[in-house]
Amino acid sequence: MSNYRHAAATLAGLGFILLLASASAGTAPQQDKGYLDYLDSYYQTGNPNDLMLARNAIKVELDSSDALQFQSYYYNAEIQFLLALEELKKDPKNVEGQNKLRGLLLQVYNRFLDAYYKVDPAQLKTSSVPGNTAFLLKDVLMAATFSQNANSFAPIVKTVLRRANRDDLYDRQNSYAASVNDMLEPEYPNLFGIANFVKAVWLNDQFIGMKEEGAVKDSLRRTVNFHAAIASDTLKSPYGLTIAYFLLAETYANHENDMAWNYFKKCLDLMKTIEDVPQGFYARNYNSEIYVATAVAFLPTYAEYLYSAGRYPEIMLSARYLVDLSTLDRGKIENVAKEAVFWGEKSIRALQDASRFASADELFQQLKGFHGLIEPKERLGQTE
Amino acid sequence: MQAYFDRGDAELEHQAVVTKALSLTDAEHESRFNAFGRRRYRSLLCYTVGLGLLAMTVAVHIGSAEQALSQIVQEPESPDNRFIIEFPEPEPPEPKPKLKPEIKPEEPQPVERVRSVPDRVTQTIKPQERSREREEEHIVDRDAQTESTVKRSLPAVTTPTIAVSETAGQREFVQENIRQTTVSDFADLRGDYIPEEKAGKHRSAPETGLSHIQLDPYHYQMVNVCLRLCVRTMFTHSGIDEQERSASSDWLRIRRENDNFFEYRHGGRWVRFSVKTGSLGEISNIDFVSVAGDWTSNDGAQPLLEAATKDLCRLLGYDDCLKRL
Repeated sequence: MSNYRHAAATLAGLGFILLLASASAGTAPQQDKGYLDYLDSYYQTGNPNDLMLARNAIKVELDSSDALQFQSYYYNAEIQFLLALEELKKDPKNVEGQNKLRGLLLQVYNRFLDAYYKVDPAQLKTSSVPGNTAFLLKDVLMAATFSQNANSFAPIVKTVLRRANRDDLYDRQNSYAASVNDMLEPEYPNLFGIANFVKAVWLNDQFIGMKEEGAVKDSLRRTVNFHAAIASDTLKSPYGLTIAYFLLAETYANHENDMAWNYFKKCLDLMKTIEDVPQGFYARNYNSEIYVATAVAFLPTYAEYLYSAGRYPEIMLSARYLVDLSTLDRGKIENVAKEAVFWGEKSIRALQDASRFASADELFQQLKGFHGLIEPKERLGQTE
Repeated sequence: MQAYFDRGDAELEHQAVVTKALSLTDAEHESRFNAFGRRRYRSLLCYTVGLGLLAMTVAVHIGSAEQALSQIVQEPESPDNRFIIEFPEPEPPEPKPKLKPEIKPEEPQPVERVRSVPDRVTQTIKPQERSREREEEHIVDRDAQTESTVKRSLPAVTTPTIAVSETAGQREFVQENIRQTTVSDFADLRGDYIPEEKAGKHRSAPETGLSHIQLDPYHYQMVNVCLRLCVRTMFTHSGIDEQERSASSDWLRIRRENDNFFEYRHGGRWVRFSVKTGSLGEISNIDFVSVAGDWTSNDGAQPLLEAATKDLCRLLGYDDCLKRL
C-alpha cells in the first residue's frame, strides 16, 4: 500500500514539474518582449496596460548592466511620466497630478541629458538619441495638450531642439521633430497651441490617407477637427493659421459644408496676405496650390449642397469667388466654370419650375460670365 | 736616555714574570688537570661516535623493515614482485599547444537598443466593416439629379453601381508592413552582421519620417486632388473634347457608358482605372479610383498614379498641379 502511495506521489510530482515546464514554455515569448516593445505598443494603441508591462519589464534591466543604466533610467523616467500623464487624463484639473507631471517631466529631461552626454558625439546619430529626442518631444507635446499651464514646458522643448539642431538629429524636411521645430520659432512660447496644431496635422495625415469610410474614420475626423479648432484659436502666426483653417475645412467637408466653405475662404484669404511662406516641413505639404486645388475639388459638393438647400445664388457666388482668386490655372477655371454652368442651369430650371422667373433671369445673367470662361479653353486647347 | 731604556726593560721583565711564571702549586695542578681533560674528551668522543653508529644501524634496520612491511601490505599476493624492478610508467606526453588557442565564446554583452522615431506611430486604427448605407443613399440622390440633368440636355453623369472594394486595406497597416520591410532591408544591407537585427531584438536605424514610407501621404494628397480634378473633368459634364481625345488616343481610353473607367497606358500595357463618381466629392477619400490586378501593391501603385496624374494634368490644363507633382 505504501508503495502505491509512493508511486502516486512521484507521478504527481512529475506532473507538476511538467506543468511548470509547459507554463514556462508558454510564457517564453512574452519574456522576449522588452519594455521598448511595450512602449511602442502604448504609442500605437494608447493602452495604459502597456505602460504597466513596460514598467515591470524595465525593472529587470535597471541593474543588469552599467552600460545601459543611463538608457534604462531614461526609459524608466519616461514610463513614470507617461503613467502620470495617464492619471492626469482621468482628472485634468487635479493640482497634485499637474505638479507631479511637471516634476516628472524635469526628471525625464535630466535623464535624457544623462543619456545624451553618455554617448560619444561621433555616434549620436546611430544611437538612441535621435529616437529619444523625437519621443521626448512627443511626450512633452502630448502632456501639453492636457496641462493647464502647458507653456511652462516650452523652455524644455526649446533646449531639446537646440541640441537636436546642433547635432542634426532629425530630418529637417520630414519628421516629427521638424514639424515641432518649424512651428516653435514663430509661436514660442505658445506650446499649448503648437501641441494641438502638431497633433491635428499628424492625425490629419492619417485621416486623408484612410480609405475605409466608417466610424473609425469619422472619429479621426472629429479628433482632427477638435485639435485644429484649438490651434486656430490659439496660434498667432498667419501661416500656422492657414494650416489650421485648412484642416478645419477638410474635416468639415461633406459633413458641415457651410463651415467647410467658410474655412476654405478664410484659409485662401489669409494665404493671399502672406508674402514669404516659411520653408521647411509644412511648405511642401501646405501651400497655395494644395489649398486652391482642394477648394476647387470641394466646389461640386458644396454646389450640390447649396442646390439641395435652394440657395441657388450662392452657387454662383462661390464659383465666382474661386475664379476671382486669379490663382487658378486654366484647368481649374474650366472645372469651376463647368460646375457653375451645370448647377446654375439646374438652379434656373428649378426657379422656373417654382415660377420664380425674376430670380431665374438674375441667375442666368450671372451664369453668362461662366460660359465665357469655358470658351477660352477651346482656344488654349488648340494651341497645344 | 739610557735610563729610559732601562726603566722600560725592567717593566717588561716584571710583566713577563707576573703573567707567565707559575707557582709550583699552580703548575702541578695544571699539568694534572690537562692530563685528565684530554682523557675525558677522548672518551666522550668515542662514546658519541659509538652511539651515533648504533643509532644509524637501528634506524636503517627499522626503515628497511617498514619498507618490507609496506610491500607486504600492498602486494601480499605477489611474493615475487620484490624481485621485479619496476620502472615508473612514462607519463603521457603533454598535449602540444594548439596553434589556434580555443577562445571561449564571449558572453553576449547587453547592446543598446536604438529607438525608432515616432513619426508614424501616432495611432492605430482598428479595421472595421464599412458602412455603405450613407454612400448608397448619396448615389441614389446623385442618380436622381443626373436624370434631371439629362432632360436639360447637359452631359449626363452616369453613375454605375459601385462595387465595394473589400481588398482595400487601411493605410496604417500598409505603413506598418512597409516599415517592417524597411527594417529587414536595412539589416540585409549590413552584410555579415545581421543576426540580432534579423532576430528582431534591435530597432533599425531611426525612422526618419515620411520619406521612408512608400506612400508619402502629402505627395499622395497632391496626386489625390489633381487626379480627382482630372477625373471629374473626364467623367462629368462634357468630358474631353475631340482635340484632346485625338492627342491622347495612344495612351488614354475613356469609357463612360455602362461602366465608368479609363485605361491608361503605362509601361507598355493598358491599366484600367475604375472610377467611383459618387466618391468624387469626398475630398478626404482617396478611394475614388481603383486599379485592378497587381497594381494594388504600393510599390507599383504610386508611380502609376503619379504618371497618370501628370499626363492627365498636362492634357487637361492643370498647370499648377503639374508643377507640384
